[in-house]
Amino acid sequence: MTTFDRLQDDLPVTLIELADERMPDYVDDLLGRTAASSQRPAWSFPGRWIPMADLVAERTFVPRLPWRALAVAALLALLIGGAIWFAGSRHRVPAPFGPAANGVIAYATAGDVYIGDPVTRASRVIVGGPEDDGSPVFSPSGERIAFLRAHGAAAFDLMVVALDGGTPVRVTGDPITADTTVQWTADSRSLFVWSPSTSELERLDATRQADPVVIARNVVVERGAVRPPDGRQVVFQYGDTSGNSDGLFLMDVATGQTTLVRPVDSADDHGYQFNHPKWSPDGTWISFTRQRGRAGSSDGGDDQRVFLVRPNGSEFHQAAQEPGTVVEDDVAWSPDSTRLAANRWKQNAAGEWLIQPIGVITVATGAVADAGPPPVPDGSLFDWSPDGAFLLGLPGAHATPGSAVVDAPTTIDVATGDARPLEWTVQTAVSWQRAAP
Amino acid sequence: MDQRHLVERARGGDHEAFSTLVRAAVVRLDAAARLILRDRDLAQDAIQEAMLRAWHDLPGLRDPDRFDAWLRRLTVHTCIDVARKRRRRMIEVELDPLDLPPVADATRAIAQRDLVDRALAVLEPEWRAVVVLHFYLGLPLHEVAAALGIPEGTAKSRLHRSLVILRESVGTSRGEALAALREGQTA
Repeated sequence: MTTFDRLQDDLPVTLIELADERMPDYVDDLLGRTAASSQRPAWSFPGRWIPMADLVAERTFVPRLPWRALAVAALLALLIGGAIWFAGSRHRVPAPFGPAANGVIAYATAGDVYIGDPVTRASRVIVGGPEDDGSPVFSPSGERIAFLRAHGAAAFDLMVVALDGGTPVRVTGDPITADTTVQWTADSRSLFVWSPSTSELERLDATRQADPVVIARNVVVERGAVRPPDGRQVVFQYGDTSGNSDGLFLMDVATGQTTLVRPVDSADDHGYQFNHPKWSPDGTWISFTRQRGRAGSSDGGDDQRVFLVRPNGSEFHQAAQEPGTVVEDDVAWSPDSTRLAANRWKQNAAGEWLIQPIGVITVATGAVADAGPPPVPDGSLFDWSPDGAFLLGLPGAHATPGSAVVDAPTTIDVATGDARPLEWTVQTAVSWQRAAP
Repeated sequence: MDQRHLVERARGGDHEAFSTLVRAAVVRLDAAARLILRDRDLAQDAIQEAMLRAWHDLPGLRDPDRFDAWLRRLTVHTCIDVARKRRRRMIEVELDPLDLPPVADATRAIAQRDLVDRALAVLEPEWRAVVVLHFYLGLPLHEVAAALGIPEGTAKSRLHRSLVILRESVGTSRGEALAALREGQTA
């Protein structure tokens, strides 16, 4: 037996001896601190739903022809004209990012995927059957919907189905977990998938005709991390590709080269400094949330705000200056990149966290305005309408993949605060299709 | 009450259930943190930070059966965070040895435990974490990789290279110790 073999064989026992296992004397104090601190709302975890913010679509419904009594020749002419119009409309796709017209809404209930018209409230099933499907999200082209299909108790297959029918295609090889990040590429041909179990960012072909491509390794990539409009950069937090330094980084997708946007503030002892980095739709800002002080301590550790920084690291600042101890989370950019919406909670004098109406922050001024009534204490799962006039949310219950909780999607008029529930019941996040103006 | 039930209750805000889970796990996690960080105070900081995060973020854990792996991952990541912060402040305070015997005690220095302990000090915390997770907590490599958020291939290469470094360090220390003994015997 070599020294190497002996070392390897002896290591488990040696490490147990070195470990000197005993109940730490600080456990009671530790549990006292946890008891005094609050839990984070279940809503505010990345990966509970696949992103709605980067969605684009095109056609909605073909208009009816009202003149049925016309002669056959005229009808034929109209049909030909309609066909030409329809073919033309397929190319009237809005840009992948920025304001667009509001299209249909994709949602899931009872394990099936539907699309519905928010104006007429008419809906139809897109994916039925015995499988448990949820979390639909439109491709930028509007021709496909990605969704999660339950695979066992806590795993999912990422599926893609064409909006005009056909058999869903399983895009992922191995099942993914609910905390996997999924985002369509701007050309609608692929999906970026990041798994926390591998820390790899992969690009998967939406038709599964091409092999997966690993874009980056040893990164933490969340929804909204791929830079509009061309996806050439990914923003991520924590270590660089060699895992040696902390901060907010950009990675060039083509070359793998990383650039430091902002280093961690070593004077801030909290580990969460660049949470959920997300690009503005015009690609000029990066937003993230930042906790301050030590979690659970009395030095403001529970305070969490939205911060902004330019891709070159300049203009780093807190987005809004609301007084008090506040948690802002679940940030969504308006399509025109001028506003941010966020769930927010305020701590009262008794230390209780009180949910507030969704806050709409004006980027240029830092002003915050309430949008609609307060949702349930966990906050709302929401995003902007493609035209930026509404927020579409699930204000009444959780909507995680695999959840049995049913909720009604609700539109909130950002200008008036008027909240109107739609008639459909849903079990997972909804996705509002973008249409050509 | 089984662990799954406890996790479900804790996830719903039951702090008693969370306390039970913590007490069941903290002995090994604290020991692992001390092995990775080689400093009792730092390990305590890391465990406290990790458990606070665990309580804070528990509602986001979807599969209660993954609690152990999740808590382990959280702890190891926090250890590495702490080590990185510490690295930035190395000028201020040097890392403490982990209950090392006096160097002059050549007889004890040749003990395997102390040789390994010193050899471990040579490794970066991220690499030490691979060794600790694999050989102390007994995790297979794919779980080590998952806990550290690195590809399995990276975990495998780090483990192999760590063992090479450990072997060289142990060998060197053994040689130095023998030399010290010889010097002592001839002095």
